[in-house]
Amino acid sequence: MQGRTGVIWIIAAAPFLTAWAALFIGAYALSPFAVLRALVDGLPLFGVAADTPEQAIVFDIRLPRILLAGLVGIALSVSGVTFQGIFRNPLVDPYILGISAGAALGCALSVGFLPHLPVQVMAFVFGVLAVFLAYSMAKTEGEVSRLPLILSGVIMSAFFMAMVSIVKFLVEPMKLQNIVFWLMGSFSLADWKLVSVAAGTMVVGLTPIVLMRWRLNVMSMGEDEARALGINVKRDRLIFIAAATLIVSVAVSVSGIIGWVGLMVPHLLRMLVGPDHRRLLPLSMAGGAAFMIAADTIARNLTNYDIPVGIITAITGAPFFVYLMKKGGKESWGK
Amino acid sequence: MVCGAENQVVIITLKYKICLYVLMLMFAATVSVYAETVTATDKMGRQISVQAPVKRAVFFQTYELIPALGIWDNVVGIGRFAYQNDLMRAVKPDIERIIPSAGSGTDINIESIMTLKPGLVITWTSKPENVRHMEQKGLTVFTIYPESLQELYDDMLFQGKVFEREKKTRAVIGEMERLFAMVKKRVSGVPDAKRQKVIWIGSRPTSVACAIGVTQDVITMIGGVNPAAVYQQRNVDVSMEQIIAWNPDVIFIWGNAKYTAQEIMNNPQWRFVKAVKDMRVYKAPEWSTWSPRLAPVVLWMAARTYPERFRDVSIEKEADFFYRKVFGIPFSKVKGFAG
Repeated sequence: MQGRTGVIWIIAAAPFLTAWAALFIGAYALSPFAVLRALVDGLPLFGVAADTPEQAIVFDIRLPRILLAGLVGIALSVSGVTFQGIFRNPLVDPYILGISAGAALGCALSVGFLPHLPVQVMAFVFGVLAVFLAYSMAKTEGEVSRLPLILSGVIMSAFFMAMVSIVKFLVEPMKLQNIVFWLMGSFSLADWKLVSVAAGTMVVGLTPIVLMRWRLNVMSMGEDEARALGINVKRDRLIFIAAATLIVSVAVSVSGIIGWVGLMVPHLLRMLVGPDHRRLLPLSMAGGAAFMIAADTIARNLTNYDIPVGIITAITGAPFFVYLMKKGGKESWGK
Repeated sequence: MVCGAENQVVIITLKYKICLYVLMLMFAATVSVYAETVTATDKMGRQISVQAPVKRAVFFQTYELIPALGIWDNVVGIGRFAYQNDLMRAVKPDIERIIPSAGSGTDINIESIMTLKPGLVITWTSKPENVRHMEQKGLTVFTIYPESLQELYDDMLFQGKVFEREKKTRAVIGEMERLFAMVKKRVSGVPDAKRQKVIWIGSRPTSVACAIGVTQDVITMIGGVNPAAVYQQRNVDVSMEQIIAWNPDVIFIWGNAKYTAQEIMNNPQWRFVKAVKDMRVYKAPEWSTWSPRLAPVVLWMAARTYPERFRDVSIEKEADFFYRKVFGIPFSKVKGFAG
């Protein structure tokens, strides 16, 4: 137990440490001293914020980008934990109910046919729509069971991706680039506006999940057990799905589709701290944020280019997943 | 005898004449064979030989040359995006009814193409497997992907030759060169120290055009310096910090991008970029740069980059003259300069 407490503290501190380190790294050559000075000058307490390029780099470019990466990391890993818990399936990721396909269609429509509607808004609306359709489709006689829900999510994804293909087919190859670029998740456009939108909606979505997280323990034991323990499975599942959908849709709309984080981080943490959601969920937030900030810092500094962060997460994620499968994923899942 | 001798003479003359005709015919044949076979290396590095003039061509790319060279009668198929092209619509409002489409450079309908019995298909290199597929069906395919002004000219000249419109092609290039000469002359006096730093941004505000491509040639021609030319690529994504570090004087936005110049200028992250401070962010028209239409765009870019040197030039008037001369339509019939 002693060792585990240490691990927990390290995980909890990880996002702050990575964020701090990330502030000092970037394409614009700034000495650590210049960064510190910009930070001190920028504090409202001192109120001497001279408007300098250094100030803009630290406060308007690096800081929002780090925060946005952190928020998206939180959103993806928390929703991963949530979906894996309620579906009692370790292979489920936040996109399982069709959010990514829906968002992709929203983006494609916006680029192809509705130039006046912003990509972000369209991605959000269609992401939520896809989940709503999948949920309604899975409903039989007023009941939504978990297997039909996963199935209808897969069906919705396939359907929406086919629609994306149609739009891609109809759109001029030159414009196509806009869709392709957007689909490769990236934080290159992060600014305070996106951060505030993401933070605001995430608070709304995260609050019920965090407060109800102990119920995930009960639900992951199975529906009958949960019911026997007095849990309204139907209602709670709907709340979890709605909240997780909200935060993932926002994440997708601000950064595009970033794979693997929602699958990998929960697994890793489950191995480190065990399957108890009361502890697993908050630590997933920390782990997700830290991983995403680190991945994005690599993405923007590995070369002179800004590599889409989705590539980094997939490159690290796929081999990791193979490792997990080889090394007894069963035990780490707990039950 | 006399009669016979006369006959003899007649026969000899006849033989001689036949010989002469045959010789002439043979000579004519060789000449025409040499004149009609046009050979060139395409972008996929293949030697392509075509019998000129091509009477049945399919254009998946560079179809804007059809009105420029006046070769409507030689075209049997066209890329489907030509129907949405402002220039094509302006010169042939009923283009759908005149020329069928057989897909596009990225999606081909091989049966439709075969029914058109084309002598030549002009497409781009984006899908080499399509090219091979068409060739296996016995079609002659010429691929293009101009990455410099010279390559664009070469592609235009090749098409001029295969449609026997060489003179017209040279005239079109002459019109382009006339505008380019005007630009070059006016910016030639710019001292090196005063050259404007120009970047061209694409699908994302942080995707920049680099050392390879027509854009790079254009930036050089208008007397600008492209800081992104350090990358030997077509386009790369860089971080916002990199753009601030470059600090360009002028920013041009690709015409098909999903954001406006205003959005860039209103974004606080860009406030330290000189081009934004000076409100010198411009969105280019949606025109193809693989077309003679490149020339008016170059003039427009030059005039935005060095306005003091183009004060006496009306870009609209020059563009109008160019469009009338090259495409036979007034400039007002196509999408104009936005920024």
